[in-house]
Amino acid sequence: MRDNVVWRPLPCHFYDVERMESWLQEQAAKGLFLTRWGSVFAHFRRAEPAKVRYRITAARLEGSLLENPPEAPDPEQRELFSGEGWQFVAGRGELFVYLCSDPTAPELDTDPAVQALSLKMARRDAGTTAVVVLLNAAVLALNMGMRGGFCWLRALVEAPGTVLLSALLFVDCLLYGVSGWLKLRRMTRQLKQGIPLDHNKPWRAEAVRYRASVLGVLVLLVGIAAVAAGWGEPVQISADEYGALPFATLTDLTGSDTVQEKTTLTVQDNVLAPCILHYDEDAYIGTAPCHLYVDYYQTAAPWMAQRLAAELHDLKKDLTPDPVAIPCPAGVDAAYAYDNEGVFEQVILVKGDTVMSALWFGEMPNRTEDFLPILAEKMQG
Amino acid sequence: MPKQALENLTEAMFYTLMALTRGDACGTEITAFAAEISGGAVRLGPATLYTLLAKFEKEGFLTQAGTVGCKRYYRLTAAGKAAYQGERSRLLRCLQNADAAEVVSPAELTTKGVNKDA
Repeated sequence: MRDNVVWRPLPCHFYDVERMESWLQEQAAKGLFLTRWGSVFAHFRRAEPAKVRYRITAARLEGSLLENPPEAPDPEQRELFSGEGWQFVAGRGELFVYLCSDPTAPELDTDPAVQALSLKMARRDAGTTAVVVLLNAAVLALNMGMRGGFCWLRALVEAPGTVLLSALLFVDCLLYGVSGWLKLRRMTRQLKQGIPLDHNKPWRAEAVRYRASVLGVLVLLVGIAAVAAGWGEPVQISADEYGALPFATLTDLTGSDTVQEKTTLTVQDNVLAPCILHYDEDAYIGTAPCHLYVDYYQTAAPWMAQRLAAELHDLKKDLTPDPVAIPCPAGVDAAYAYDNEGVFEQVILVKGDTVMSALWFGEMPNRTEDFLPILAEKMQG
Repeated sequence: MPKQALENLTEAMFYTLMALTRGDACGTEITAFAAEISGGAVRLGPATLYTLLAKFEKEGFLTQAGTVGCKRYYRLTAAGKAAYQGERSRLLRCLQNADAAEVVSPAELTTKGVNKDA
């Protein structure tokens, strides 16, 4: 029983009607007859090889894309088609597959212009796929923009694997949607010119290309899953375990009266940033609580550090919206400061390929101008 | 190029309407009629006919006249009759012009720019 069921990967986009029909007919000649038709694989049953005709036609002529297309033909269609020798085999999306074993039976479609009319819902469906992918990307970008600016470089530097694989997957999905729409458009133009479809179109060359692209998508999905499962994730360790930090801490900024309450350090590295540190310190200066957050990036190129400086402010601009004019300390390529009426203060320094953002709040004994030389001196870049 | 899909009728469209000028008919009867009247030259594929019946109904060329079992019967409307007659007249005019072209000598053609010696 199990030997009677065979799976085969599809050789082309399912909107490539001519090649799909040709492929199905060749499978039937080898004794494989279609029973189900999925996104990646087709399901066949084994039987005596036979010379049959497979034809793919529209599942419905009208309707809304918000409604699911029918899974099987209505009784009128089934009666009309079976009366001429055509049996329904399977449906997928906006298409139905029919089979005929009688060589004298008329073709399913005998008027190319009318066949072009019948493909309206299929064209809409193909176009919608590409639009949906673009809309998803737009919503994602809008969401990121609303949450803290479109920090694409920070996302790329902190998770290059996830970002690149996701971008490739997005491009692949978009190309798949556009490809389906283009195939249908070409087919419709041909039919409108009165040229019937070639039901024996060669499919092998296309199958190599199409199956390689499907395999590529599967590899991307596995890659994303691996990254999401924790490969390349930041690691949390104690500051003592790390050793000498490449930036100033509260003790460096305020002196020996500072008592550390709690510190958190996450460490990460990848090909775009050999060292990424996120430092979070709670301390008391005397009896006054204060807090310091440091984001430190040693990147692969100075332009990345410059671009990250803008993004690091975007991330915190709700806390420190107001720019403050400061001199550029010695040994530093660029310096920026922001505050929020003295409650939160942020300094961002760029030195070569390294960028550091230090944000603090609490009852600090000194102001930004006093901390600037210490921050610049302690920063390693 | 016609702006509307059903402005100039194809052969399949014309024979479908022709079948319905004789009275209500279902898809099977329309197919049989087209094959018989054309001596087998016109065969309406089931998908072609199914699409045409739906499109014609949407355009108002025909309406449903009831069902018998799974078979749905269709009736030609006034708009459908007008479309059929319009196409019939167009085809007759073409035929008459073609017949006239075989009879009229080139010298009698009055159209400017015609190479009468061609």
